[in-house]
Amino acid sequence: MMSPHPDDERLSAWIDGEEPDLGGHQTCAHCQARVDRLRHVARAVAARPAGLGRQEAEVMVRRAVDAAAAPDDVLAFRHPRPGRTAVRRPRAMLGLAAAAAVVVALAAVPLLGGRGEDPDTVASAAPVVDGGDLGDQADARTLANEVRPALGLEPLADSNSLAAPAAPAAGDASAGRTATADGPAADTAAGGSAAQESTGATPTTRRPKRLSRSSTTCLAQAMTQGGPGLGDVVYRATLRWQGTPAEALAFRSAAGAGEPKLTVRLFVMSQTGCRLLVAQSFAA
Amino acid sequence: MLRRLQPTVHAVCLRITGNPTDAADAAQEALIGIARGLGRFDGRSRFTTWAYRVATNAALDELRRRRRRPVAVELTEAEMERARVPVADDLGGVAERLDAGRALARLPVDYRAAVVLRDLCALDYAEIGEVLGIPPGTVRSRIARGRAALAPLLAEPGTGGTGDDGSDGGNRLGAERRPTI
Repeated sequence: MMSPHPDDERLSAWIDGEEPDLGGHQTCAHCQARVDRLRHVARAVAARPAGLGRQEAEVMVRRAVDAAAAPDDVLAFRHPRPGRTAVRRPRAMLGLAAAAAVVVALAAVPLLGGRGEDPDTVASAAPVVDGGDLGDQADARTLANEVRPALGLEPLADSNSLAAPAAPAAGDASAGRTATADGPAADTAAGGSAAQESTGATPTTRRPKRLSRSSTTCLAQAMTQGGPGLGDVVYRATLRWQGTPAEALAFRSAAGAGEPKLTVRLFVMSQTGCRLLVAQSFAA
Repeated sequence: MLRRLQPTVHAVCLRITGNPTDAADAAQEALIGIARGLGRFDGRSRFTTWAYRVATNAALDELRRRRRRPVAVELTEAEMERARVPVADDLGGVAERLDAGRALARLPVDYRAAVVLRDLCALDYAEIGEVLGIPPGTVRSRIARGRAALAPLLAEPGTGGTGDDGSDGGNRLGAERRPTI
């Protein structure tokens, strides 16, 4: 025998304002109980789940803005998953990404040639140089000598060549400082000598490869540290900084009029949580 | 604008994927899609409807990508069918009460998306149909069946918090559209 009561579909549509009339069953206790249950479900689903923290949300927004401006970032910023070794992507997307990478790489060949182009003219098309894995690093000078050749810069010959390491906070790029996350910036001698002694290690010259910006995992956090005017990321490598698995990201920007010639800023970020471990700047 | 959208986009992705990591990835893809697609938004639908469509598609794409990974067990069609019996007759068979997120994860994704777009995003049936590419009648059916399946999984009305954020929730977005009984 057919029930005289409206079915769930009608009741559900009615609480959504999509069913104009229940044919007098609004006052029926049986229907009232069912409506209460459906409404309870609707309220439970409508309760917004806990969102991301403010910083995480800001990073997400920055990444979106950054990726929207960079065609090769379509597939950027996937979060690591336990037991997930690779992300399969549609072949068509991979083809698009590869084509975009080729275009970007071709457009930026002059940068790697190191022939003195105006950084403003190459910044937007700069590829990311893959420095590979730099192994264990604990010394700012040694690290600088790993990074500089890959960017077409001469290795540091002596202590006077390391120019003005920069503080990590935006707007605090005071000359003569190497900043770490563990403490206040260490003042260096006039002329920009390193805050730490050189290990005397011979820098290795790596043949740079080119990466998509999407290969960087701490890009947004480094950009947050660098503040406005940081420029484009031009270098990325992995390393262990004083035992902490880390990612090194270098940015190239033009110096303003009357400012010291600081064109490359290097940030070392922890791979877990993207914390700033150390930052420094190079003079070209 | 992206800052304002981010919480809702993330919430939609979290409710549909049922997994925080997948939700973060999907929300990121959605925000990128929104940022890139702004210039192509033609104004034929509400902006929020368009943004929810981007978010929903990103979440569904993420679910497709994770098919190889273990997921929470979804209700079968037979279980969905059993959920259509009047809720009051079904109380004795429910052994556990879940929060909204885990309960939603038990729904087949087609039902889940429809319920989320209605209750979290307060879209009407025509808009949900537009987002999911299905007729409004199918939307109506999926929402009803989805809610009916969720009812026995969730805590009883009046027995405490219903949201997995510990709040009673309350449909702030859609309440004004609902008649009271």
